[in-house]
Amino acid sequence: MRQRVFRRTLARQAGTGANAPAIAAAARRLCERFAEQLAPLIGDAGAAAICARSLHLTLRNVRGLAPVRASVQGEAPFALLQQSLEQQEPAAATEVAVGVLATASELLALFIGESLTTRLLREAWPDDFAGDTTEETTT
Amino acid sequence: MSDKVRIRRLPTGVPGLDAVLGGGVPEFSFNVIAGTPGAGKTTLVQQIMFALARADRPALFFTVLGEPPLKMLRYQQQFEFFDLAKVNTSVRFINLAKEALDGGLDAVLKRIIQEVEATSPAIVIVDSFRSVMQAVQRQTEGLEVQHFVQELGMRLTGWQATTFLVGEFQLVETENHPVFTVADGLVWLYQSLDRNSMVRKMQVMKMRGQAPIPGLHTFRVTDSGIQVFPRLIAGPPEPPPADGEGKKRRPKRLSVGVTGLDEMLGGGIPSGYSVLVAGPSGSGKTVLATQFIREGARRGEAGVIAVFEKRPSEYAHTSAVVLDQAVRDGQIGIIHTRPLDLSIDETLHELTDAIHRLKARRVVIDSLSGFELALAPTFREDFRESLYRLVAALTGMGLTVMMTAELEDSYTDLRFSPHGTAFLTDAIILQRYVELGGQFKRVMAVVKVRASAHSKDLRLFEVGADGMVVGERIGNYQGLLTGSPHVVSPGSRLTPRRPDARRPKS
Repeated sequence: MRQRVFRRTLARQAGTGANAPAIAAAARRLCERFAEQLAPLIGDAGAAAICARSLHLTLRNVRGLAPVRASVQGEAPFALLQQSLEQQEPAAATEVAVGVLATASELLALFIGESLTTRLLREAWPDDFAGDTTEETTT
Repeated sequence: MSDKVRIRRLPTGVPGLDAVLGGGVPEFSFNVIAGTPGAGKTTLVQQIMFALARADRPALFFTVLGEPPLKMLRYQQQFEFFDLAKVNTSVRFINLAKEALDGGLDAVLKRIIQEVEATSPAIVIVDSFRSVMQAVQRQTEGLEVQHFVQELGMRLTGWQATTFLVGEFQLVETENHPVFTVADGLVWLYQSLDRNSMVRKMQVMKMRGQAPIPGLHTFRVTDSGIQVFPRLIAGPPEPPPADGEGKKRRPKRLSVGVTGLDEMLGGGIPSGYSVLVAGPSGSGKTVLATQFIREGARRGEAGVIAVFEKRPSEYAHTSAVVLDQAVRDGQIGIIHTRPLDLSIDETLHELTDAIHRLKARRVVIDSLSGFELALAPTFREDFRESLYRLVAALTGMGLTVMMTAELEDSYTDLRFSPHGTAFLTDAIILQRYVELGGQFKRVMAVVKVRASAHSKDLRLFEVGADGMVVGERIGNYQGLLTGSPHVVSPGSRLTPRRPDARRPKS
């Protein structure tokens, strides 16, 4: 469910028929927005930990993105993610970006619950997550 | 009409806490919640926060460097009071770790004020305030701690916020830490260890503008959150009601439900009295107590039994006096409290809950020995004083209380309670075993009924399928309580008491 919403959000941010650099830039903006949304609630360190874990889990199976995975503990993981996605095909870049965001939201839900996670996503992207019913459908 | 300012007191949403604080938290006050790790500080302030936060007057919860906020949110959600619908609407969590580490007190103060001015919160919490202090300890520039605390207190009060600073402080710090001087309220939470038992306690060390209940109050943390059991302070006993001419009326008498025993008591137990039923194991104390309660139910006076040795389901139908139906009808309530870690105040709380629910007029505590064992070790030491407070509170409510106490059947030491509590009671009924004509017999006597005439007889009694039946006075024996009675021929005069004869001890 959230993968679909993130895919739609990413497409809108990147623009119709976007190339890989546009998708990479949009992915970075979305990741940074997500981290910004988390930071006041769980602190910069908490947000960084969630994002780093998400990058680690998503990128470990993606050939060619190992340097990003190795650098996720660095200070600017999203800048590195952007650089790496720019080298991918547009479709592959989209899949990776959506995977990173969806995994981060799943991790967050694992720690603080679906309800709070959905609330945070709605605050970050009110139009896109207004109809997110994950909290009602998850058992 | 008074022109003095009237301080509004906010209900905390923590059962029992408002009473301890003296009516609630004073609005716009600046409070410190202190205690050791695991004492329940964060749980307490969050329970208060969720109770008070509204969309138009939200609560701001500033986390700093203590418990990571990710974990705090994860664990605190387990409590029933944690209302997810309020998060980010009426309750906002804001992390100040970056400000504390990078900018020190100036940056922390600036951010707090910024957020407060933006949201006009009714409640502000800083958790942990101690970690703010620790984060800036090494800094030599910027605001001093005292200045920071005063500035924070003034700004938040000025912005009409009620504030709670949460911190892991040591008691010795109360002497010189500026936060304790500035604070209007100081609540200290403890984990009191005694042998293998831990009891949570709370003390309101100060609460400006009102009178909190002094002393240590026990509290529990359950899935519902914190529940405080205010330390009971017994007031003066209520004077007996007066009739129209101002004369004291004699209290109404309550029937015990045992034929013959009412007569021995001088017409039943005076209403509002406490009665001790003392006797050895198996002598029929529980039967008498349940008969007392059942008789009340029969007469439309509901009753509550606090059981400390059996479970209520067993108690209701294993006693010779079956109570099942009256329990189902709501005329009798049976309380079985958690054993081994109780406080007297918690027991009283459970009792009064049931008493109010059933509008009870009679109470039984069966037994004092079981009750003492059910208490946490730390409270057993002052059991007598605690029991005094309990009995005074119950009788002060106009209830008639019957307590059972197990006695070792000794013929060389005549006492009515192993707890030295007999003097606390208004009446004492004694049960004993005696050997008569080669048979074990049970006898009963009324030892005292305060301010009332009563029988001095020793009377045989039996417990049958229908309960207790009191028989005749044992008239032809002397020395029954010594264990070596002898027959006295009818008409002979009793020998006068020797000067060295034993006196009953209470």
